[in-house]
Amino acid sequence: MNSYALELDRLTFQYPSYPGLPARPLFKDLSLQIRTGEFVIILGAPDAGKTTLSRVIMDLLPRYSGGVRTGRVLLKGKDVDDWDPADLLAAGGLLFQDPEEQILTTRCDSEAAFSLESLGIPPEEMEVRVRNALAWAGMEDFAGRDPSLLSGGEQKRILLAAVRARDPEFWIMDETLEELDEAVKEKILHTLTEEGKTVLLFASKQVDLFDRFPHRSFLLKNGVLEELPRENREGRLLEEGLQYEGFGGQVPPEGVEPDTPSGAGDRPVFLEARGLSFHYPGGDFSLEISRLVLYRGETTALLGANGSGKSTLARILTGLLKPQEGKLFSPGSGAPRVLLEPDDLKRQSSYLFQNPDYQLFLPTLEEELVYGLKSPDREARAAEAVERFHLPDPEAPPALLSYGARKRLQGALAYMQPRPLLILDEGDSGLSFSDFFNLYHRLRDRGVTILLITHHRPLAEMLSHRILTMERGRIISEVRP
Amino acid sequence: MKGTRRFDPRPKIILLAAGAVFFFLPLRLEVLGAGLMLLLVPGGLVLKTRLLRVLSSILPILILVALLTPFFYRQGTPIWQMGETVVLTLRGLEETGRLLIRFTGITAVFALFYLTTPAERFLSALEWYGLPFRAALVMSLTLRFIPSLFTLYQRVEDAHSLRRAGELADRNGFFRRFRNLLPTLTSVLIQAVKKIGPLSMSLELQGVGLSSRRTRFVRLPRFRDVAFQFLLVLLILSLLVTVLVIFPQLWYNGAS
Repeated sequence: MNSYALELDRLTFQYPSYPGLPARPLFKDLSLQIRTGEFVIILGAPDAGKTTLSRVIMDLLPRYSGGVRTGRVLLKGKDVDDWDPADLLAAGGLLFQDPEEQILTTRCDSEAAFSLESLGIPPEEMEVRVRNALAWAGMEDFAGRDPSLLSGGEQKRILLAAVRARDPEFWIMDETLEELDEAVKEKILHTLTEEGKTVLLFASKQVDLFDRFPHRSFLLKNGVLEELPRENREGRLLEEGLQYEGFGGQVPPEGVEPDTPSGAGDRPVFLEARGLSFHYPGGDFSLEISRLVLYRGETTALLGANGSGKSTLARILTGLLKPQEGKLFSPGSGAPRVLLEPDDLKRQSSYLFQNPDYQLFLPTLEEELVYGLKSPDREARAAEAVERFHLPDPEAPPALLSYGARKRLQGALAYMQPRPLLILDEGDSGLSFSDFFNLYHRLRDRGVTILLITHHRPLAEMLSHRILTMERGRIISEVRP
Repeated sequence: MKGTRRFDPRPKIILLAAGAVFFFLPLRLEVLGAGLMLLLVPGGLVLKTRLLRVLSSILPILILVALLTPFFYRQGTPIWQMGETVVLTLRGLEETGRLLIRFTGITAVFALFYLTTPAERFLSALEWYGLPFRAALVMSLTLRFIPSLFTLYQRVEDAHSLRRAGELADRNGFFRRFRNLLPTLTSVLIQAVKKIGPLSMSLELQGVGLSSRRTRFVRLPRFRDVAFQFLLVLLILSLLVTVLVIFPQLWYNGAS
């Protein structure tokens, strides 16, 4: 029996050319060997090609994208091209970075069962497997729910349950742990390593959790894989912005520190919400916030488990959802408060959505940046934004950029139209620390009030003046780090 | 709502087909209107705002139809003339009403069906009628992605409404919504097209296309357990057909 679960042998891959995005090999002569039962992490900046590599390994690219692949991918010693599709399905599972791309059904239990149906598993066995897998992912209460209506983190957990139900030997996870609660991440890695599964995790940042499990790390950069021995791994990752050492002492990177530690009342109130109540029609979730205050120029972090209501609250604060009860105010120039209607809230808000694509629609990056702006210096500002947010050629089509580049473009759009309130919804997801810090720094520079939604507590503790924690639609704690 | 979901998808498919055919029949405008009301009133009670949200998504198209269609009919009784030129006729108004009811009706029939039928049960029902798995999957995926596209449209519209606010918000007026529609639809289209590749990959990753025989997680009840539902549906349809046959005056005769 071959002791390697995966071997990459001089793998080279190149996408086709597009206007503004000339073809270049994304990987060149890439070689890697992963032993059966090993946990391997491939770290890389958002544009490094991690998603592409994960799909090449599962023989999906270049078939679905065009482009050229040379070299070999061997799974358990056999070329991936020669695998019988049913055997490959039973042996390996790939989880996409964006769960919305992978969901096929309208019930969570059916989603978990879909590939079992393909394998012809008897219904009675399927029921048991699905129930256990959903329980493993902490989603047993979601069996009858529509996955498309769940939060990003919950969707990822449903897809994890779907792979778990199949129980393959080889797991490939593309940024799967981003947006998940700490306890869930730990449980997943604990189970998989304990059971001797081969795990290949693609990640854009090194976090402390990884060190609790024996693993090998690689850096994917400029199409080359570099193994990172434990003794000099930290230095190398710090250099690449994929790890940050300042969390322990709450030391923020240069330029992004909160300007003054503040207590309540140090700063003027920017926005006040009272008696907010919201529920989705037909759903059992309800949001109840008795009082929430955002202070001008402060960064407030919003933490909470998947589905706790963070994004719903952010959408109310930006006027995208109108609460069934409650009001939002801003302090007027004099003493009386001013009631804010949804249109007022929209005018004062920038929102960096979890999915960067919702706001993009123009054929080139430059057109996207200057869209709707009338100021004569708009081209100059666009050029400045391209440089500051490390964007590619202004002629490049936004829809074809990498996920990380689209996230940076989203930041650049907020930069081009500065507003006093900025919502960063899972703003760090899929970005390296250096990319996120750069984005945060560029937008924070302008003295805006920021609501940072994240699952990364050390990041929240470092950057924010206050941390609010949500649970089941309520704010259950407020602390000042 | 739960009751409508318990209604078996197999007889519901018969109702879906009958509903779609009904709105294409050459019936009098009042009959089509009555049919639409019979659909919207109970549908609205069951689905509440969800049905309204689906129908509001076709509002721009309905407005375009209402604005443009009347002027393409010159036949029939003139009701507005400019000199010798007939601008508007009764026939033009009737045809406009017919198109509006037809479009709204078809949308409502499919929305009612889909919003009360999980895609997996629809898939199983199509297979029960003998459709091959792949064809049934394509149909159920199509239906599954209609509300997904609607959700996507709402999310994109939200994102664009924030982007438009502020510097771009100066544009007010009646046609603002139409002007804003283009960027939103473009983003939705880009998103929809971008989904094709990952969706195909996802289908392959989950074993669609394997030659082995698929088993089913969702099992429909035995026929005899839902026979009364079939009977009820057939009774309703027989009644409708009988009424349409007995009363020829319900049919549109082309005169106006």
